[in-house]
Amino acid sequence: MLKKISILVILLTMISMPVLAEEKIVTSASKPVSVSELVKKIAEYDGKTVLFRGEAIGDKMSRDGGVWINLSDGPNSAIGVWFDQKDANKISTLGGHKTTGDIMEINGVFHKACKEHVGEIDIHVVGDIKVVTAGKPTAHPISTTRLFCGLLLSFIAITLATIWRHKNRLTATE
Amino acid sequence: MILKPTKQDYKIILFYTGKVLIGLGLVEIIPIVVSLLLAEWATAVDFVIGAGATFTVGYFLQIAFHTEEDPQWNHGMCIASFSWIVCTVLGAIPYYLSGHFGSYLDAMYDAMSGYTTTGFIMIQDLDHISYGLNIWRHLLTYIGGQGMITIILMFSVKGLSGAYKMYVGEGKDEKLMPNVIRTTRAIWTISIFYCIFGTSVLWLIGKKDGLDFWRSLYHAFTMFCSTWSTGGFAPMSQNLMYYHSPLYEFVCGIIMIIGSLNFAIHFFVWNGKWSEITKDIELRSFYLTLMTTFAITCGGLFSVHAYPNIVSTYRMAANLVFSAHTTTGVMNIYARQLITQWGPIATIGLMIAMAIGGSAASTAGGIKGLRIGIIFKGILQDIKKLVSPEGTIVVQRFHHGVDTILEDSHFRSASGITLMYFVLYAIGAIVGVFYGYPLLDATFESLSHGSNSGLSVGILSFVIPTLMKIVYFLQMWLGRLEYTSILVLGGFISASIFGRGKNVKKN
Repeated sequence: MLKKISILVILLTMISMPVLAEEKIVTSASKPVSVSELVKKIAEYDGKTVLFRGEAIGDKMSRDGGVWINLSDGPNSAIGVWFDQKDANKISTLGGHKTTGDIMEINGVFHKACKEHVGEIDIHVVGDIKVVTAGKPTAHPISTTRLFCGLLLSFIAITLATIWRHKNRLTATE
Repeated sequence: MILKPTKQDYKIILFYTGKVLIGLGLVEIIPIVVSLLLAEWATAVDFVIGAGATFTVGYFLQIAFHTEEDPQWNHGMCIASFSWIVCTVLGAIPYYLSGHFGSYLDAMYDAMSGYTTTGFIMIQDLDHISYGLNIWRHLLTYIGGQGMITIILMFSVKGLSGAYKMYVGEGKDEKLMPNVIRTTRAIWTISIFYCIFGTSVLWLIGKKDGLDFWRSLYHAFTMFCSTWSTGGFAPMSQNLMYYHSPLYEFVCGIIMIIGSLNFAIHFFVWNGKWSEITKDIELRSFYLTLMTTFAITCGGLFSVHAYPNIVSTYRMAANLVFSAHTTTGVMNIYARQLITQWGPIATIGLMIAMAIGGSAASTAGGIKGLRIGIIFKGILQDIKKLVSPEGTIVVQRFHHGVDTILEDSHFRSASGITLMYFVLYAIGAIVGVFYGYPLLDATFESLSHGSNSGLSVGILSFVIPTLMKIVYFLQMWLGRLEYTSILVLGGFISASIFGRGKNVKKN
């Protein structure tokens, strides 16, 4: 009898642990959440595990036992993600003017006001991270029309500057 | 009867506008050099076009409208306000050519936001722009903070008797030294000293926080330009949030406060007169209103349990209150968090801080602490008169560089400008509500534009209606130049159209 009750208790505990745990998965594996969605429903997502996809941009900032990398999910939209060093090393290309960074997919706990990071809004990575698309260089070709316009305007400006200086010298000698 | 301006009036205004453009063109060489050094060839070409156009127009105006006459007061005001518009149109060229703006109006908006040290942005995909373009953005706030007119005054080798009149046209009247040209050079000397010192400190913190040598220097320089000039731009779209560093924010906060101070205070401190910090009415007013708005904001945050502990609350509140009160505009939260997390009381605390603004004759916007102090003292004087026996003469003094007896003219001037600021804030709010935004949001955004603060609740974006962009553009311009020079320019244009008869020159 005691043995049956013990097994029942253990089974019930195992079933209830996901319910009692602080973090719940609220997004399905196929649907990442956006930064604007997180900010719009900030209280609802607080403390929850979310799926986030974004381009690694700017800098890897190693400090205090981890690494800050900001992930961007669109123009002028990015969020700080706290990685451990091992995961951060999987990111090889960071986005900037001359590169598109690695597009990452991470599962992480969203904090509207992270206690560990003095109130910051952030995501702490839990589990594995995935490089969806590797980063690559971005080309910025020079337009020959613009080059011609630039040279023409420079020539005109230098000519006018020379005329102005000459005029000034004449005025000074008078 | 309004007299029509003479040809000489137009010549003076256009000639000196040309001088300002030459100064702007010289500054535009810096991003060209940066782009070439970093092999950003397309960006370099864009800036060559921009600088070429600026120099071309500048030298053309100087040659075509050459005059030996010095500007009078009305000319000085018109030169200040008109040159800002022309610089905005030409300064937007490299912006527009970068491909990061949806329209030329958006590009002009960002240029004006930079010059007026407001800090709102229309630029798209900020995280992928070139170093050259980002350096230009931050240089615009740096020179806008000092004043566009000060650029030409700094490069003038001979005295200009009309120089002071142009200088005042930019909303400054502090004469630190007998000669206004020496005053502007003193301002630039102080700014460059702080630039070297402030950039070095931020650079060291950045390196400690994990940025590499060159990236830390780049971020340090751009963030210094932004915070010292109370501009509010940042090299990345997350603004101060990008760094995830309370220490970086704290140092930026100190730089903001120092940058928002009246240049006269800097000059006094530079010359060992530290007592001015405690005696000056503006600083005392600033300290009082800073503490008050900080208390309101923290109270609001505590009431909605926005943050888990006091340290987090103070960190977030301090940074944003400093940013609002100095009208800098850097943010360490997302704009919409003000609505979804902060609640109305904390948001109103920021609004009060923005409305009051920083110091007169500084890089900051808003009504200014000096005016608030004078209005408060004026009201106090009236109350004292009422409670004193009849016939009592009540003398109220204030200290602003020197001890001054408060007169009706001071109170009238302070009240008049304050009223104009409130009218400006109201107009922007009405336009926002007209387009369907909630009253609090619309008022916040309008106040932020009119006070050149740059904090946002999330209304501003490149998709807002064109009329709203134009209204916000004008608010930034009016707020920064404090109305007088723009009203004089408006009067000049009216006189040009409706004026009659010949304007007889007096000898």
